[in-house]
Amino acid sequence: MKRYAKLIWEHVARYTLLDFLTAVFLTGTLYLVTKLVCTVTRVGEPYCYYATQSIKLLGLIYIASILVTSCWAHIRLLGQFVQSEAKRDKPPKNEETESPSGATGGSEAKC
Amino acid sequence: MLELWFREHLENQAITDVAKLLPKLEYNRRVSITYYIFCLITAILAFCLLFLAHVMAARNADKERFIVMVGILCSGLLVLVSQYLKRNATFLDALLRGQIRTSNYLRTRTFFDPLYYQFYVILVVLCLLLVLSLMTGLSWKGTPEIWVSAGSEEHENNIEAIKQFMSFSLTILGAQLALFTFVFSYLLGRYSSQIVKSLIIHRAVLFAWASSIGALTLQWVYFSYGYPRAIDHLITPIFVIVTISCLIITIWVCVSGIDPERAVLYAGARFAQTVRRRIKRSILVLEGKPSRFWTTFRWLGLDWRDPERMRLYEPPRNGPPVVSRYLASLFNAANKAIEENQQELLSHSLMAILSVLQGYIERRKTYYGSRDSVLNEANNQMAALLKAACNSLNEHMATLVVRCIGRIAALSLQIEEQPPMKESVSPFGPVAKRHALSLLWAGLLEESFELTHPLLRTTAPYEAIEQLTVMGALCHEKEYFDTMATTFFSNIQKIHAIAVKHADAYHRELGRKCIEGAMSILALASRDIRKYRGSTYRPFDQCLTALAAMARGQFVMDALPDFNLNGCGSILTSKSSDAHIILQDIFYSTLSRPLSRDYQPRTTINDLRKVIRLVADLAQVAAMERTADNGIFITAFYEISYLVLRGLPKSLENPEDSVRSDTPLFREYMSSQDELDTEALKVWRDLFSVFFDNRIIGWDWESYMCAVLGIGFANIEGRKSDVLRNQLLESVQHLRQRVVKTQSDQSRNIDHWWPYLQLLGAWISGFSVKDAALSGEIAAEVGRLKPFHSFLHGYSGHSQFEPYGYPASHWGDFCLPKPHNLLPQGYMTRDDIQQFLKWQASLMSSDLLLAYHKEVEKTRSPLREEFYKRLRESRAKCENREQTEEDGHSE
Repeated sequence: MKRYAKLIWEHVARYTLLDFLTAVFLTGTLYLVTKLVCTVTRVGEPYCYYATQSIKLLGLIYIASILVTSCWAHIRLLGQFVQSEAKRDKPPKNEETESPSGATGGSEAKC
Repeated sequence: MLELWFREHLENQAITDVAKLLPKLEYNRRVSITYYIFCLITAILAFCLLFLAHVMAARNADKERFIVMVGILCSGLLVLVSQYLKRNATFLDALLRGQIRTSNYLRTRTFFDPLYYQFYVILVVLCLLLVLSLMTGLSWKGTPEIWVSAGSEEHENNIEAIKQFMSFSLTILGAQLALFTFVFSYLLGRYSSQIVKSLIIHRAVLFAWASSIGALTLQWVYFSYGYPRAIDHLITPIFVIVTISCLIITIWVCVSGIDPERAVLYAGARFAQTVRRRIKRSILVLEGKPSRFWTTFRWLGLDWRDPERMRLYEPPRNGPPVVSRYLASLFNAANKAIEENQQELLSHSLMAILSVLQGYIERRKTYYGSRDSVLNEANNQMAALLKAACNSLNEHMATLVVRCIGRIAALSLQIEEQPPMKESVSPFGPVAKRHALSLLWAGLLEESFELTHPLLRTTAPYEAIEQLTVMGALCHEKEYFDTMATTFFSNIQKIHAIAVKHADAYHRELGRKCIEGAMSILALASRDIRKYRGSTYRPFDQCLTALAAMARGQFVMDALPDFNLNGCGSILTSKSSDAHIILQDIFYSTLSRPLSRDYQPRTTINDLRKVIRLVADLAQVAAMERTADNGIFITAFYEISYLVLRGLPKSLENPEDSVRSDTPLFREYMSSQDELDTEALKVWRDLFSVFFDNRIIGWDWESYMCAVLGIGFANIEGRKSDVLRNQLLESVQHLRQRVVKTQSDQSRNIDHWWPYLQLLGAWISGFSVKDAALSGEIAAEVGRLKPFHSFLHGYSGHSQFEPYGYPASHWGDFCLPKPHNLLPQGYMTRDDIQQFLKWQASLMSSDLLLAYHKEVEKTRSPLREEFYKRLRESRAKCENREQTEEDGHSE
């Protein structure tokens, strides 16, 4: 479980967090810029309202897409993890019978 | 001193390592920037889509929900795709490539054009004026709905503003005329009128004028005839924007244009563009047929192709005068810069000269020929410039000029003398490619060295050697082998001879640089598998000959007691950094040279023999000259011998290509491996004789020489070669005879050789060489002749076999020295290292050494007993005599 949690952090959660922070930064910047433009140019309603609504929607879209991509990455990782666990459970093969030339990991370890 | 030397080399290595790492870091930085720019652009696009959807939905109330949903869907898709792509390495790479291409393009353009961005800003203003003109033209004096006529109420309201704008625009136009013309001519006129002209007719300057004139014209039209109704309320803001923009751009252009360095650089780029436009590419009538287009036109009697473009061996007549005129103005600027001690301006002038010549050569190279008036003139001008730079107080200027000469020399090599011919026209076979133009430039580089090496504060001599080396490498790449011999080799040897005449540290470094240059060309030649069609000189042989001659000259500087670790031996054989090419690298690259139809194993084997012979010759000369680092050649010989004795690549073993032995009694085929083994061990005997006779001390050369034989003995099991066996035995015999003879003559002390001889005897007895007679003889001689008491004897206490009469080195038993010049280069694989360690263990096997020690002791033990018995007796006699004398005195 610990190994799985580590894998999740390394391959999914880290990137999800990064994406989330990027999305917050982007939408926040857009919101601030819009507010500034609205105040400075004195563009009245309804354009400021449209811009604010668009930014809110954009934020929601970002959250949805981050969820979708992270779920997809999670599913793929789970598949790979299950496969690797299945391989680990199998008994190890005899290296000498596998490679009579001796060019195996075992012989390298001796070096 | 040693510490300083190592520190310097460690620093060099660190610089090389960091330089290798930097591109990776730069790549990561750029990827990160690209990633975030991509995220930002996507977010802005998605926002715009949503905003547009909201606006459109508000205007179409019946489809409001549908439009918003479509907007959300599109932006959602965009965000989702971007989320996927931003982790896609291929996409990011493509994006990065695009970004790099764009930024490089912009950097180049802005570097050469000081008014690059100004042009695009003024273009926007001009576009605005064009739109206004178009609107005016379309609604010219139309109905009152579209046109406000002069004298109408609306026109009267704006008339004052238009009047003010007219006077404002007129002022700006006047300011532009005054600033652009007078400021540019005042600042740059002293360098060249051509440069001023090129800046005054810059497109940004012209467009700035056009904008002001256009604005003034429109204002006059609006004042006199009225204006379109569509801009009734916008006249004031539009003209405010236009006139203010014109004013700002005028100031911006002036500020950017008063920089003479950038103006000169721009002039060079502009001249180059003009040259490219004026001189057309050759039509090459002799190569192939005209295109279908021209065939049809010829049939119609309309062959209007310029006959000037059909000249094959010289450029169109109208080209050179234009180029010469431009070059003259830039050389004026360069000379003026030297006169005024303006290094920056000189640097930019030289860059401009290079730009013009590059533009010219791009076209000129399509025409062929061995003569060129432009390059001849440029050569003369550069010679004059060099002399002026050498007389300047700022001696660094000479370096800039020499660098420029080298660049032009490299450019000149692009012009070929003859078109490529598929079949030889000469009955004597293929004719070598020659290049007369480059001789001028190589000569000028040599002259540069002569002029600049007495200067105190310049790196121009180094630059001359560097540029000459680049030229040599280019000659090699373009197959001008004969030209390379007459330009590079002759000039570099001449330069080296000049450097060697001055026995000081600075000239020693210059000599070293010459040798490094020759080594880099040799490295290219060692990998080259092209056929030297018709050329008199073969680069590989030329390099070796030149190198040998230069090294011999350099030895004079390295002679004792002038001990210097940067000596010729170190340059040629000891690696100080990855980029440093040494003879071992040359040997390995020749050894691993790919074979081709023109390059059979025989050629490679001969080349390898030449390299071995070169190392041997240099080592012998160094020993005889008694240079400080002569022993380092033995290290190189050991490493090369290792590469030979461990076995050649299978591709070099070609039975059909093998040679017969010259000995009439043994008319057998000798394989490539045997041939090289013989050569290496023959050289071993020569080297041993020279070093032994000259009583060379230091560098542990004895150990390296024995290690060569040790590798042979250890590997003989696998090789099963009679030739190697005989050569090894002959070498041991050679050593034995020398040592025994010298000991018998009592001409000098050679006590340190007996342990090595004993070790060799042990190897003969132990490995499959198995010459029992020789082994026994050596054991007997060691037992009999080795002194029982020597000042050289005395055990270090760190070695296992030293008490048994075997040699010790490096505070331990004898071992095969680590080939430290081969290991970092990857010339030894993991298997090779394992094999090397195995050899080491077998050579110093305790069973073998102790058994042989017992054999030596059979002779030595009784003699030792006798020796010590005599010693004790003589001591006792002495003591008795002293006692008697004392007694006599007391009585």
